[in-house]
Amino acid sequence: MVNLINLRLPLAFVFVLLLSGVSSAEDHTVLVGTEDNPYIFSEANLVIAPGDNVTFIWTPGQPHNVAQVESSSSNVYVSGGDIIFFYSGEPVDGIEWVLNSTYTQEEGILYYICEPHAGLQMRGQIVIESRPDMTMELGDFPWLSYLLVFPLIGALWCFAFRNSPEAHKYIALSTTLFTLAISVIVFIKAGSGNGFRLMEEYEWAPNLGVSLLLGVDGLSSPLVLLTGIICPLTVIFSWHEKEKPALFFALLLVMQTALYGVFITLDYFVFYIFWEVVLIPMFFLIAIWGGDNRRYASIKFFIYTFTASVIMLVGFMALYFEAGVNSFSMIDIANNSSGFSREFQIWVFAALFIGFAVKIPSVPWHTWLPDAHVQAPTAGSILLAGVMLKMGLYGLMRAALPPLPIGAEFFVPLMVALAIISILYGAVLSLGQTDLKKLVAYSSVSHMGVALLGVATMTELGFAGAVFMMFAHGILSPAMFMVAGVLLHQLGTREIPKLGGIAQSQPTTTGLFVVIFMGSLGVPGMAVFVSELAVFIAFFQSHGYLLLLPIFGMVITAGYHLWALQRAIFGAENESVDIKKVHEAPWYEMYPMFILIIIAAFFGIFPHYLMDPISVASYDILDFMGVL
Amino acid sequence: MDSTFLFLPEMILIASILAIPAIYIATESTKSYSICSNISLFVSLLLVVLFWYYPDDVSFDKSSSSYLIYDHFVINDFSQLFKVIFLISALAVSVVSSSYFKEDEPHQAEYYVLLLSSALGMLITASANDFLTIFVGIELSAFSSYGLVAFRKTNDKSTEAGAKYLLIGAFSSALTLYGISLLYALTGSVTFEGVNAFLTGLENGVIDGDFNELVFISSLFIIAGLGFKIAVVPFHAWAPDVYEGAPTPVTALLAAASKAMGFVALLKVFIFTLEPFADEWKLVFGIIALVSMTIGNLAALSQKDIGRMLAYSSIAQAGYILIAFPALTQDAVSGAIAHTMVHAFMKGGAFIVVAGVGAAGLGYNVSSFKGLAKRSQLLALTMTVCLLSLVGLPPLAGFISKFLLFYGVLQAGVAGETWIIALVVAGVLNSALSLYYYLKVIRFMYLYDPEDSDDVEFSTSIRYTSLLVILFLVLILPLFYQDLYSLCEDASRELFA
Repeated sequence: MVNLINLRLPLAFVFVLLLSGVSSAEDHTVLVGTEDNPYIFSEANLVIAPGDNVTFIWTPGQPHNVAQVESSSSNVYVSGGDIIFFYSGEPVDGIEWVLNSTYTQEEGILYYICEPHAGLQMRGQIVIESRPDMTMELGDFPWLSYLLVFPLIGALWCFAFRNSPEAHKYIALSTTLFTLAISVIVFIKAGSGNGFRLMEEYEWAPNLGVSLLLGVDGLSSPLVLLTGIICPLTVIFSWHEKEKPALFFALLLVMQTALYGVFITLDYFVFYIFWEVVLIPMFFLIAIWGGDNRRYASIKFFIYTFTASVIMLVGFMALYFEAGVNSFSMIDIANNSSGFSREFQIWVFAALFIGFAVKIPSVPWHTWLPDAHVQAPTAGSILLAGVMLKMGLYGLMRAALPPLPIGAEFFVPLMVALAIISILYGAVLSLGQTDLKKLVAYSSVSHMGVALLGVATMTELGFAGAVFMMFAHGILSPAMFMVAGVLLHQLGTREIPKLGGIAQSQPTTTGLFVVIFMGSLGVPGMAVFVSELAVFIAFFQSHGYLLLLPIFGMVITAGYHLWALQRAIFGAENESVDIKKVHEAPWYEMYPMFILIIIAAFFGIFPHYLMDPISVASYDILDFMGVL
Repeated sequence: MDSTFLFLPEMILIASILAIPAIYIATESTKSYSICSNISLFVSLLLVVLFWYYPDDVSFDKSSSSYLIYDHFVINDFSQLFKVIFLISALAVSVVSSSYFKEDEPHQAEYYVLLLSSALGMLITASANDFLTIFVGIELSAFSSYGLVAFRKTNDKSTEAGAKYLLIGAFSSALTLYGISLLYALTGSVTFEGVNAFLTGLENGVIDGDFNELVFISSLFIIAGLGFKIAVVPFHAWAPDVYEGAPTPVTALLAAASKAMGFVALLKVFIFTLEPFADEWKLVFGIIALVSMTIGNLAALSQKDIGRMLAYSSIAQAGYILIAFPALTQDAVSGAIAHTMVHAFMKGGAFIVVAGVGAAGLGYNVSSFKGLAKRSQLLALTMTVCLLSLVGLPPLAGFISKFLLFYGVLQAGVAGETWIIALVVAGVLNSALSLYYYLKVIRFMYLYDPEDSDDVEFSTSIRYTSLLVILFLVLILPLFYQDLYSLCEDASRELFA
């Protein structure tokens, strides 16, 4: 059996490599001097697509070269000017020269001449324009579709190997690592420029205006990166899953596809589909691998979020009809939103806000979260808190704000109120929890309240802080759940009163625990601090001394973190703890926590890597809304 | 041109209805009846599709969209679409029946004869072009299903259901007929075009007279009569008992095809014929839709028997579809047709799984689905797909069709009468409500252990049929929903001609 797996796994990688090697760039050839006339270019007017390669081949007979010039009438190649032109070198007879493809990345016209024969009108031009018959517009390579397809293929593979004892986890790990690599590439390629990058479009139902329109900007690329980081760690953390492991990993991967789908889709219809598909694997993750009360929790989770999202769907449809452009594309609808009446905006924003607020979750719609978290397996909690909770605010900023600025303006007081209540209420409830996981769940409510507060300020800094908080919380709350998971594995309980005095038996692990708790409560140098600072500055600028309320929440936050740490890990040795069972966490639990700490610290110390793209996207959204 | 050959599908069914008794005389083998029934339904299905695209044997070109035969029958996109649905449902039921009934179950020849004649009645309904033909079609189908429901005459529940269905069915037919006779008295015509022309004349003032009350009363009678067929509140009381008592394949036929037939009749009568007097009946449909979906879902919450639960869910689904009637736009009606069609697939699929579980001797309670995933992954998956599709969870077919339905209706609401928007909102909230009782079944299947052994044989034909249902609901319909939509648009165009 093992031999068989050893054979199959390399095959899987070959398959993956084959798929990834497909490139879409085309090759073109230009003859420099033809047989009939040695003083012309064979393709004097070449039309190509962005990113294509062009090769110049000299016909023997005359010495020529290729030099780019400024315009169609210019006869002089300028070397060493401000603008760097392409140049094949001194005139020679009979060589082959490939034009560097960076010159053909952007649309436009490149004019070039042959220097010795410019007077004979030996000139040509390369027109770069997107191929009209191609569905891809700007992307040179379908990175984003790969994000959607790879986890699905991995899920099928996992399920196909369900009878083998080990294969599925290696498949899951390699798939998630591969998508992590793509996520990093997407994050880098998205950069911090304006507008959407890496766009792809695949038609689905053109009569209704539905298409799979993909693209990322500074708002979504951090979340794509977050999804990429969290998923492999989840797999590693569940390395020794005993019960139906193949199904477990397959569901994780399906979940990953759906999460990516939510973050990179720019079409309301497809967005809604991915939004709902997230529920199905999560439902089964809670329902099959959850705790004692998992049946209740899974159904509550499903019904709660589904009810909210169908109301949101009605809002989407209303947007579609009112825009009247026969397209579900978020870009098209936002561009045609100027005619929306105030009343319409308020109603539709309310419908969308209900859908998003349940996912955030904001008080008073948060009650599904503690149940779902407590009952979910650790891996489920990690995905739920790490990535899924980000869908709500992301949706609010992506789908609701741009087309509905007046509606958003109208609801700002409500959003501020809900955010502050969430911060305080979540923090106070965390203080009273005895179950470590429930504590983290309520702290999530509190943290996401901070993010909602950032959005409610309607300022660039506030938006940026909110998105940064989404990322930071997405890194640190999984780490918190890992702490709870480690304790549960070793001692069989997460009840804080039944823990205590275990620090000495596992010094290294305790060190990690402490750093994680500190990071989560917002110690400077970790990512959460940066986002809280940004949000609070923005909130002070927009609402003044109302800031004292959320600041007070932060005090409580520090309190419950430290108190929980003190009771659960340090302190006197608790009689109910079987100290013999306490040992250092195994590698598959230790490394994920360590990696998360590194990431949180990295972005805490160098926040601009994230802040730059986020700020640009935030500015774009606010500029579009006309708030700035 | 002689277009009688367009009746070949119907004639094949008639021939087969006559042939099965002959086979019964020749051989005792029960397999032969089901084979005869399967083949005739399948050939008939192929011919319907063929005539849909090539109705003209000379040019083999779809030059005209509508073929009228002796003024009483019409072959067009609408009729052919529904004929395909009817025949696929009947074929699935016929295939499943052969494994549902044991070899020694008596009277199987009669069963297949009744099944085929029920299908024949549905085909006639789909093609009918006047009130009498449509009535005959409905009655042919209904009378055959009375027999089918009471087929297990030694079983008390089956006979009780049959008797109930017969009495209520006869009553509702009488109501329909009375409504039709009022319209005939007013207009002097029984064809849809004739009645429609007269009413249009009345509305435009070409013909003098104020007959609003008369049209309103006759619409009420027809709604009441046809409301029994599609089982909407307050004419729904028979459905849970009959769905519970009838042999499960018959229930599948009733839930999938018979219900769709009721909608065919409603669409032809109201959208096509009584459209000029829409103001008279719009509100009635709106109220019935709202009440049906709410009561259907609320009642389903507490059901123990899976058949009764699905019956109430059917009532709710009929409520969703009815919201297209007050909207009265082509997009809304296309959505209603799409949802009727997909509903046939998902409800039929769910009942096929119920039949499989029942035939394996596990019973018909919701709790008999406990641990089904351990016994058969495929059946559990089919049931899950069907139920989630009934909720309207993306990306399944039920979501697509429900979306098209709500899309069309909401468009009408935004454009004109705002009270219709309330119907859409009620529809989506009800969908969320329905999630609860569907999830209960899914939970039983996946999260509980079977009450006794894991080892249960499920019949092959049921497994293959359910595989096809999954394929349709998960892959084919969602991926090609543009094509599904254009089919429905073509069909609804015939109604608005």
